[in-house]
Amino acid sequence: MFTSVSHPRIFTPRPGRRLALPLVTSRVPAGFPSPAEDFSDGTLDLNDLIEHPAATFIVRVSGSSMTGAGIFDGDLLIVDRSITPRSGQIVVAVLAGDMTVKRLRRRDGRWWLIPEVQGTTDGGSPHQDDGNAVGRRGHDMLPDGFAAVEMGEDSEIWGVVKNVVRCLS
Amino acid sequence: MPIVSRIFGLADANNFYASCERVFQPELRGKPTVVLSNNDGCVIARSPEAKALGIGMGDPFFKLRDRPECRGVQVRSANFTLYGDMSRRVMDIIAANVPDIEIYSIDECFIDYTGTHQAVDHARMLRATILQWTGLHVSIGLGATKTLSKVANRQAKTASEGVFDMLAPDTRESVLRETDVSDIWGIGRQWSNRLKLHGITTAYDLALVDRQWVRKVMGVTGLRTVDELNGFAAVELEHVVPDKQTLCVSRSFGTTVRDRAGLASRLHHFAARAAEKLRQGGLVAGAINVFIRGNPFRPDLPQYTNSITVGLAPPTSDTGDIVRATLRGLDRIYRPGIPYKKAGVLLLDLCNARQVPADLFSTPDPRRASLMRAMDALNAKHGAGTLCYGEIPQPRTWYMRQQHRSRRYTTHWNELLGVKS
Repeated sequence: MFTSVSHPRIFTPRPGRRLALPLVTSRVPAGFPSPAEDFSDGTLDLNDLIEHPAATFIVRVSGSSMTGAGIFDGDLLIVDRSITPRSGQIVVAVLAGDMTVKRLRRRDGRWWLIPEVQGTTDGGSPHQDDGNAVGRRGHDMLPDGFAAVEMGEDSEIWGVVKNVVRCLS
Repeated sequence: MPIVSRIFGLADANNFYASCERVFQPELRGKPTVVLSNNDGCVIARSPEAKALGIGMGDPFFKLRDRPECRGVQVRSANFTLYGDMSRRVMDIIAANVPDIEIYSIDECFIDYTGTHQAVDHARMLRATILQWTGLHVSIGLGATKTLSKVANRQAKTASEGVFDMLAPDTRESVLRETDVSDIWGIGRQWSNRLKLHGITTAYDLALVDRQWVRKVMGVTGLRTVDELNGFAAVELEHVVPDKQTLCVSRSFGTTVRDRAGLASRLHHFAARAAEKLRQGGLVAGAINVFIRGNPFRPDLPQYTNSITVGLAPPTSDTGDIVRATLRGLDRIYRPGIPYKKAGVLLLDLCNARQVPADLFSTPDPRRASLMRAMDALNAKHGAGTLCYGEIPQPRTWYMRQQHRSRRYTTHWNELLGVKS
């Protein structure tokens, strides 16, 4: 009973969703029926990527402190709140009343939100498993949002980022 | 047959509307927050901090603005699109994890836990899951009947871990002793006043009342309540949505309207919307009530309220018929010189379109039905109001005042939650 709570499988009817259906009508009065007909398995639906619809939210990114993780200005993030946050995951977090996307890391028994800018490792912020390293760069040396921040009273994880959606053309 | 002891739960989201706002606007956390009704008329939801300021349910917004202690209060217009979507998420999570649920309102559902071992632990886990998945706090009360689970839910709001178990008879007795009779599900203010005249002030008093007496005084419904208080389940979960008997479309206006044309334009729109809703439900209406009203909050202005019922024969869902009847009704009750603040239409005598007896004196034109279908399809595809019936002369700037509405984060691509990177 309890496992069904911690890992529920939810199937929700989505009446508004448009679903592409394969049209299989073989009108071949003379000749052979289509050999593919027996192998029709339906079509792929991107909704299948969303495992927990009740816990999934889509948010839009602004800014460029996570380009190293492949997240760019204007991207859509698919956030699954049912995933329990772990060190190393990319998360949406509440930081002093703001929503921000960062890499979550646990260092020295403390939790950090770390930016990841392209061309640097882990965003140019200290990232070794070494508590002293984190302190080396003061927040004031880096523009807002580009410094590692330790999670404290005024911060919390809002959800774990599962996918990025970007329009390429 | 073995007697199965019943377990019912009532899950209720705390401060639901205000909490939905806070999930997406963390800057609101810890600040007094209120949500206003359609048209920003009055307070329909309050955060705990707003309750602590003494802001009441239904307080008019303009009065709030005059109170100095309410200066820091965060105000949001009702965002029912968002609340509806968050409600669906909560209900989906509950439905996937319990034997049976009945959705009772946007933020409440009954759960049938009968046969579940350690229902209390299950409820605690369920509550934690809902909090993690949606960010919303839910309280769950457990009792041997629906009525008792409602009582237990009131305790759950302040209980640790948001779950209160009232299944044990001695817990039940002590809680019922502390519960005012007016707080019992189904006992309105009128009943509780009458009961108090008979010395029945607590839920426990009511539970001990003689069944014959209750039956005589309060009828079968009252008897059911008493039985439920004593732990005998008399009301099961309801799944069938009762047939709609009436359908109402009305609004308070952002600014008052004095002229007939202005009222006609608004009522025309309400009638068209009501007809559309009728057709969605496969219903027809046998009559329509048209009402107009001044501004009761401004006793200094001329007051006038009136309504009229116009028959629709044969019963119809045709926008043309309903709009015509509405405007005819308006002509009968309109009085010039009044600053009107609200108007609306109420469709009555609803029944299933297929059950309407044939009319001896008129044959419906089948082209009308296809016209309505085409109109509904167009409006569904290209947005409400794409194709209107007749003339709606003025731009719809009057439609609804929602100056403080937050974004519809979960249902509109151009209103998504923004996160900084």
